Amino acid sequence: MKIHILTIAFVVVALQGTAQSTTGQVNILDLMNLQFNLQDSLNKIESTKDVREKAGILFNLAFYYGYSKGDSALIYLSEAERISKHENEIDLLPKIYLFMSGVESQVIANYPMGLFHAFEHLKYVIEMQNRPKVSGEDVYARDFNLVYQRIAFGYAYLGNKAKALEYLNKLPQNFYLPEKWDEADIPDITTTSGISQLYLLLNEYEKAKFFNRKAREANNKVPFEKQWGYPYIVYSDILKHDKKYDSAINNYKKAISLAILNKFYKDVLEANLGIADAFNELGTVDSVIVYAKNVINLSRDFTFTEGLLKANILLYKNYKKLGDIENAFNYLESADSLRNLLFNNTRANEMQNMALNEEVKQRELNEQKVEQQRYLVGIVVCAVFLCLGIYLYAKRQQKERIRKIEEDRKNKELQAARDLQQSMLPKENPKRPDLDIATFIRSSTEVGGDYYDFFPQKDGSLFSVCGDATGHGVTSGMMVSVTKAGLNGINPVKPNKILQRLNRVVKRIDLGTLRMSLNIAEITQNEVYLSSAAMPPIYLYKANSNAVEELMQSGLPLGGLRDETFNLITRTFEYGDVLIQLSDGLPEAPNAKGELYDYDRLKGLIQSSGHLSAQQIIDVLIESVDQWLSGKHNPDDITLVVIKKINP
Amino acid sequence: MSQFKVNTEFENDIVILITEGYLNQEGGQMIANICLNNIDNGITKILLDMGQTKVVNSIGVSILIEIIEKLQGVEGKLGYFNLAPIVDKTFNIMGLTKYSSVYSNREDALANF
Repeated sequence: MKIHILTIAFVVVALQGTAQSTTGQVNILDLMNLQFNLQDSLNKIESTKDVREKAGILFNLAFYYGYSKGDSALIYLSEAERISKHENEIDLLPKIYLFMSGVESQVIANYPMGLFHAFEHLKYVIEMQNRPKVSGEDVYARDFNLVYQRIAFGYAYLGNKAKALEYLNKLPQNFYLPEKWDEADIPDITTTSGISQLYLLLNEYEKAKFFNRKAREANNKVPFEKQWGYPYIVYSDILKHDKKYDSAINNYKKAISLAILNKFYKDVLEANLGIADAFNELGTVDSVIVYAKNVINLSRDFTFTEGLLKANILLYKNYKKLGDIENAFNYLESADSLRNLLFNNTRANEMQNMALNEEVKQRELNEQKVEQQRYLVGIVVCAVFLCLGIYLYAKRQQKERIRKIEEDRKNKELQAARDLQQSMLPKENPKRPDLDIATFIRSSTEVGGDYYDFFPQKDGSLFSVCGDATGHGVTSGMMVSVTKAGLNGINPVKPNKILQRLNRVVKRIDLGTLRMSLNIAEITQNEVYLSSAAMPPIYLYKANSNAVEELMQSGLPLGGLRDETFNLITRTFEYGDVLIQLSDGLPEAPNAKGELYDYDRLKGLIQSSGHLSAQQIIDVLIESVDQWLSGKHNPDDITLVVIKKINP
Repeated sequence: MSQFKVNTEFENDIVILITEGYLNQEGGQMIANICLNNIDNGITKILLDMGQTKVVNSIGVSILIEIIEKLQGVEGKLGYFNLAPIVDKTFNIMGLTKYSSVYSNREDALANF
């Protein structure tokens, strides 16, 4: 664990030197003092099958060389990156990219690549947030603070102050705001020192001074030989900015002592460059040349590319001052070559764009994830609605099936009722030389209970009945059936007596609220006997007077009260006379306004058409009532029985 | 046809049912329920104000016959007033007037029932 902590801390401050925690409990120098054996490490890499161990050794190699040989460090890091990706050891990647970014930015001065790998770092830290935490996971795999610092550094080196501050502002406030500094919660010295360096790069000198002072205060809490040199380099840079060159040079030298002591050779190079630059400001040419050449000489063994470039420029300028054009030209050529290598604008822009694109990509990735979650929620909601829809559809289908079954059942019942009703009616009207008989029956949509029948008697008389069972359908069919059976079994007595007997029969059977309205006309040679149980009037057209008599009898329907009695009316029935029995469907047919056809209208029409044949009279009446209905559905059955005396 | 409605009023020992709408099975059953309930409670005189009932069908009449039959069992009686001519005629045809009374209006009914 210590190695990881210190390693990461080291990277965060961009390989600037050793670290000392403010608590003094951990010293990065211990790591550097390890007897590091390259051959042993390489052998171990070959022999081990443990991917994480292999990656760990490669990382340690990179760490070891990172401070002195940046290019070598990057090779080891690239291999660690390849293995980690190949074996899907994703938790190792944040640390690898963090280190890569540090080496690229602050050792070999490849700032665009440093920024690019800082975003790779960010990508995998985000990726880790989506994975469950497992035992043995790299402790920095989920640390956003390290990423934000690294990206802020990347932008600062590229001169993009706004973006650098944007990422700096993502850190806890006591990490980067002097006014939020909290003695009870002091960041690690590497962070404090790194922030001061970052502010220096961003020309925020007051803040740089604050955090550098805090870093040096932490440094001073341990013995000198265990102190970290880099805060003194930053301090020197600040002094140099304040034109305190002598103080700056002294502090650079202090940093060199510590760096050599701790074998942080890149710090040695940087401090030498700082001294050369300070002497350059002081105009001390010889000293500039000495310290700048130190940088160039050390660069043969240790990597500090930007420092090398600056050293070449200083040498070019100072040899030029001395009039040594040849040397000046040589160093200028070297500087140009390095500048082209490092600061080719197109390349830098491309890489920065790449980094920016990566940032955008990250944002898009995050948005995509949010979107995916929304989609997921949407899909779940859709699935719920789909299931609900399917359920409702199935329910509806089931309902529809039930409705259809019910409809079929009703249709069958209706058909059965129609068949029953039809079977109750006579197949044909009686054919008699003395009587012209015509009938008409029209059921409403549902089968009604209208009924007519004829019962010829042996003595030549004829019983004509017309009835209307209450209700509709099969139940009314039953009532008709009962009535017909009753009529068949009754002796030919007068109609009122027949009704009385039938009433008792129906009442005894007891069909609930079902009743049967019925009238009976007994037609003899010259007379007609009429009796009615709750039927509309019987109309008698008298040919000799061209008058119509409405023969209304009051009587309960059959099945009403047990002891009901019925009246009997007797009239002559002579040549040309017409007897009309009917159900209430015709006189009570409503028009569109709800007005009933009515009995008076019917009576008038019978009078005007009484001279016609039985069928013609029916036609006239039906045509008239149809006109009254004007296409409107009649709610009740219409039944007409017309009997005309045609021979004496 | 509009929905059948019944309002009930009491006048001394008489319950008056004020009907509105088509007296068919539904309307008849509504009247029957109220009447039977009143008969059970000792009411034996029932008047129907049918001023707002212009049409009666055969089932409606059948149900009225049932009410008459029930009232006969308790020596009660049924009467009507404000009948539309067609309803009056229907009641006459259907024989109801043989077992129940028709009055021209409420005052006539209350005075002579």
